[in-house]
Amino acid sequence: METSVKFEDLTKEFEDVVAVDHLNLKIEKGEFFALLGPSGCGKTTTLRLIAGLEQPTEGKIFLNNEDVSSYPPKERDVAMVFQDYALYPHMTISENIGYPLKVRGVAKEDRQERIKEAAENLQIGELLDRRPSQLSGGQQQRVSVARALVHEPSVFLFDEPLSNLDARLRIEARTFLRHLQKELGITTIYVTHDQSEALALADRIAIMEAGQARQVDAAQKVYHEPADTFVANFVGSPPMNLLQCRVNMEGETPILETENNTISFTNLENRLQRLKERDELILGIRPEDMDLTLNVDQDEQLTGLVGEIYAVETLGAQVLFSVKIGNSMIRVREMSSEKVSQLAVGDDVSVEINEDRVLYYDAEDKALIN
Amino acid sequence: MRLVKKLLFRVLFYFASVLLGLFFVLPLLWLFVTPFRSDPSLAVRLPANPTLQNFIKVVNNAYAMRAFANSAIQALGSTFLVVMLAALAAYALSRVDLPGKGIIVYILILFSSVVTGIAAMVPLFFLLLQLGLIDTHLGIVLAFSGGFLPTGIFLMKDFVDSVSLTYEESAVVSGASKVQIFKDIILPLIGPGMVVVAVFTFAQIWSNFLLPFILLRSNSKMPVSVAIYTFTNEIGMPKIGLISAYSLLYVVPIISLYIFTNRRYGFKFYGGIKG
Repeated sequence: METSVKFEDLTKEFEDVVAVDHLNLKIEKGEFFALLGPSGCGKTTTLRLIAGLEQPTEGKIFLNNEDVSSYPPKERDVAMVFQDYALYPHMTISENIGYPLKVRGVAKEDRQERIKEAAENLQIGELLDRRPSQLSGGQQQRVSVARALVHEPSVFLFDEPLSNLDARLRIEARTFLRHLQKELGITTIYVTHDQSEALALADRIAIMEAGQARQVDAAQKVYHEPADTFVANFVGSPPMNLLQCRVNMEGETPILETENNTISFTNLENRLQRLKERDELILGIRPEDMDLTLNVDQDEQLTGLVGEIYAVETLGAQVLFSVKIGNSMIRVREMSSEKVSQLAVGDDVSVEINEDRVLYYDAEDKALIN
Repeated sequence: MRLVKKLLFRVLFYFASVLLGLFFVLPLLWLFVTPFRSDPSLAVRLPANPTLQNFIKVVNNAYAMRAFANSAIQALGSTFLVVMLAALAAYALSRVDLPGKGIIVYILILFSSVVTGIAAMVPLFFLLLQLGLIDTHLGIVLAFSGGFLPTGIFLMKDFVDSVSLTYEESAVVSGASKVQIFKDIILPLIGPGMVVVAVFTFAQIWSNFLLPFILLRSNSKMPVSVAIYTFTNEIGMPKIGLISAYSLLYVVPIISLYIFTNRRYGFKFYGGIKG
């Protein structure tokens, strides 16, 4: 059974904080949906509202068009995986996984069968007689997922389930979760503050800040077309470069003036009209959409962005350069190559920008200019 | 000079310590030695001809044995009541946001020894008299429960506080009712705490003399602590053989309770929350 989830003006206020602020969202049947945001953005509160652990101050939650806002957790038929797993220490793994079935009054033989099935699905079949304290972090995490899926819930809720695992296990568990979700087809809502996790796992992502969704889009779109500078700055590692510019019109050609450089683009036709109306704007460029060239001739009159290499970080197949231009820092990601290995800290370089990939943001409301 | 002074101090210190130790150990030695003597006295002397005669006399004394049953009824009854009520009350105090919760807990500590204390004896006597509970097991059980509940709740609250809320939330989402959560999750997790409260309460009640002495009338309902007091002959001289054997039997439950809980629980915790 597939279930869609919908919020209408969902609001949750705690004493003097608005944790979730008139949130409107629709999560489709069978979708893997991520709520992404910095801590305190209201993503976990949203999840707890769906689970029924919190009551909304205002607004409604729908599961399959049925208003469940006032239903107790039991009647919502959702399952949740907690950040600390919350495995009951006094029960065996088998009892832990079977607990949701037990409280629902499923007969013992039936229960055993379904526990076995869930455990085998998560490859923890041989651990059933142990206790949680005898398991590794990765195994505990699988047990908590098994406990969540054992009663075939209509919606899966994950609250940062991978944050307690070490880096290698996290990637393994991530792949596994993605595979499992697609196989079971259960609507899944996944809370995380790790943008790479959200990008890797989710079909669609809502980036939240201060209880509101800044952007709700497919993972690809969130990465390539962040709706505002907050999203641009939050998604991607390292984040997008944001350059404050003044717009100077030289006849029909807009010249963008940064702190101490000017940038002129050759191909601006589709955006020209909107740029004309503004005095200021913010350029957004992903680190991989730029290129560095060493300035050999010191006397040459340089145009474009010129600066000095501040730091070089090796990321395996790629190298990350931090270039100091005036008072701002720009990050450029290059594929490792012969050319790149010659660049060193202190070198004067000019930064070339891949024009087609540049995004323009309004200086006032920080929103993307289309 | 300094070395001599230091040495002298050492010698004096050990001498005083040993003296003090003996002072406390002697009564215990007396308790374990005297019941086996054929000529029991107040002196600590190893039995010349070890005998079980004193024990046989105690066991054949119907009144003495009846007192054991009374002690068991009163101590177990009160302990059961205290542990159950304290667990429920502590759970509520720990989980429910109550205005002035801190003050309630503070008052609990403050009044923890008032009910079973001497100051409350007269009002307590009148209260039970009005309720028609004087000279009943129920009256004693209720009075003891009232006396030890504050301490019990206070001790237990700490244990409930240490149980992570996520366990409960996880159970709530799993569809468990409040009763199921308390029975399946909370009770097992605060088990060690309940044992602590139970042992503490049981030991206190088992050894309490004043409360049953005042609130009970008939000999057939007196607990051991009071019964010992009546083992004198016609001219008021204590029957030392009987008393010592009876006393030894009297401490056996407490000592075995302590050994059992220490073996079984050892008061260590295992956790399932990864932090």
